[in-house]
Amino acid sequence: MKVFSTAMHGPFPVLTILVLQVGYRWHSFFPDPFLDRSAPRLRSLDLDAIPFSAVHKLLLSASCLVDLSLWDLPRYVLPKELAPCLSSMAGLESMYLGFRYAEYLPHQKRQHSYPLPRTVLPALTYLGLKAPRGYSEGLMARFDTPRLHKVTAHRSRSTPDPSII
Amino acid sequence: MDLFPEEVLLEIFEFHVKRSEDMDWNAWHLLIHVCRRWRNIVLSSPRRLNLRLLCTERTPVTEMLDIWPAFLPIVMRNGGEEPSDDDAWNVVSALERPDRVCEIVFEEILQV
Repeated sequence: MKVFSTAMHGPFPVLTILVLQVGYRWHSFFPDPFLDRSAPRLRSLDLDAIPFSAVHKLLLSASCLVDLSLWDLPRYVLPKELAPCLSSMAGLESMYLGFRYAEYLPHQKRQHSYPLPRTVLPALTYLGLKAPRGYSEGLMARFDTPRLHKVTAHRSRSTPDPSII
Repeated sequence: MDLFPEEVLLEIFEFHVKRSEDMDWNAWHLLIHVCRRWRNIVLSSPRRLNLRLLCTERTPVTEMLDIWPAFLPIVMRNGGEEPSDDDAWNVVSALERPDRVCEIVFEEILQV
């Protein structure tokens, strides 16, 4: 896999669609450095079981993104971590976030006495979530979605063993 | 067909490529093997005809990229086979041209 590490540098200037929905069998073909690059013309991103940290740079560069689906995220992502990545996506119409486990949310009971900075997603019409209890409230506290008209939400399953997340 | 002006031929080619898109990504290959004129017309309209080179993990990518013009975008898709170590070289060969890769689609294909 050393070959990959040397091959996976530099931007994807014309990449418009990236779908990795192949489970773990193919993950060694696409290690983290592969995703740690920019793709300024990306319009559709659909990933399965890939940590958010591995696509952070990709998302920051993907200002043309229209459809974003992150399935079976192995670790929890705070809404405030999402905000900088999504803030430049003025054309984002559809977003799905699915977390593998319902992790404990330490900030759940904290009440903010000050208004949180909000990111506007002007084109978002669909939001799908499979997340821990309280996640959707935390997310909506961070984002303005004036055109949102369809939301689906499911609860993530409980964590069987904290050591594996 | 030799009497048809280029624009008319392009209309016909576009119809053929769009009609075949769901079944055969390489439908345009047929056109360029008819004659030199058709080849020139097809390769001079890559955007209109949505010309792309389809690579799977089983495609000998290096050899294929040597044959085709360097301006054609690359689409990477998996073919549903169990991946072998050799497949990695084909995937890498395509991804080493990041300036040409326009789509990467690797989906789980259920075996019935």
